[in-house]
Amino acid sequence: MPFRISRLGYVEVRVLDLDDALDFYTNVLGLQLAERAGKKAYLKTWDEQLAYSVILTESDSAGMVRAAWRTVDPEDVEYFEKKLRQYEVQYQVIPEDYKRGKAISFKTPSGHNFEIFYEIEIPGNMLPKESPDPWPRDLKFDAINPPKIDHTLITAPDPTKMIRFCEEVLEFRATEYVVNSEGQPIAAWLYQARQQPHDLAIVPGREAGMHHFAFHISSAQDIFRAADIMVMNDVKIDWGPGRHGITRGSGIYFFDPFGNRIETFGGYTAYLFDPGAKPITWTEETMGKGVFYYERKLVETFLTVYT
Amino acid sequence: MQNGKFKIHLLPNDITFLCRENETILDAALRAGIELPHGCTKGGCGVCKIKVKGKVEFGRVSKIMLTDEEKENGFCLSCRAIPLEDIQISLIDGSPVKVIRYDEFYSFLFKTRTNL
Repeated sequence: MPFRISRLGYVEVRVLDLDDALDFYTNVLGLQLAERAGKKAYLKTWDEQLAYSVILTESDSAGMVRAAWRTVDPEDVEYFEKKLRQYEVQYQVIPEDYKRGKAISFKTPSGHNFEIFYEIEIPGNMLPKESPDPWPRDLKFDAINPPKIDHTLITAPDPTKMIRFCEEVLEFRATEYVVNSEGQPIAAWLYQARQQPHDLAIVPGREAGMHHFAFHISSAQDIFRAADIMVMNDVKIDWGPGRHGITRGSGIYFFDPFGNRIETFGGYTAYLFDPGAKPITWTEETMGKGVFYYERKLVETFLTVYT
Repeated sequence: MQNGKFKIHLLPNDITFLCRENETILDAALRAGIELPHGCTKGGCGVCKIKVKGKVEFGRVSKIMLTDEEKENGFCLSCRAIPLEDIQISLIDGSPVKVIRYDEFYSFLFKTRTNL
């Protein structure tokens, strides 16, 4: 079966104050502001080709508004429209949004707003298309500057149902599961065409909860540099720099000024995509080591703190 | 009030500790070695919600995690709330709070605790 979704296109996240949010997201995290329009701001990382990957919206609470998945081909949007009809999932067609064409919008069994789209403006990254250097010179030197958005981890009251939905309807494939004593998956790490450990992960929790969204940071040097910058700016670090057993990734969990958890994630060793290979499983007993490999247990905030 | 600092009385532990000007309840508690539960520390996750008697400035918090009704009924998020007078606090379930090294000698160890 071909991949029909390329990657996590963008997430929209609620913030309590847009000025403070932009200060943090551009000066500390190092995202590029595409445009500020009223109570929303559109941002992207320096290496992304698409118009934006993060939308910040001023609101009176924190958390996720929507996550949007970009398809591989334009006709894949219609494919998923058909698929949603087949599974009797209510959806809306949104003809256009900021610098974006048609999207289909629907609620998942976990209560999250998901979108599937293809058309979006592609202004390119911060490098020329012809004979580029490996990185741009005009990044803020003391910002984290991740090159790309990576994944999001969301919470579901019935994670088994949500995992099945993502696999059957949205055609995510699993790299790893946590299974309960009955062998049912209660957490999953799911990927699409990018063939990295995960584009989407699901753990048990509140309806429509956002555990975190993540940016890719790969080398150990860059991970520790990111941690330095967090401390230099009094950013609350939740966990790390550390290692996940699941995905083998190295990460840092930290909070934006409104309590939304963000992760820098990467550094995993050659997660090789082999079609047909069986997913890895973890048990409720080994899940602690799976999530926080060195600590070998869940830190208290993992299952209780999210927006 | 004592030396320009407000007193925070913690129940049922029956411990009183001091809060500096413009200091949050959580900061003051952790400085005193009182492990009030907390999460994001930014008013977003609601994990640090406690009961409070007395006037506080609630600070910038998520309205989902601390509703206006809760504000009126004596709840606050300790990571954001700043006392405006001597106050009394307790956990929502009324259980005692874990206190580590609550004495003068060790309290300096926590003064550098800034990952909040």
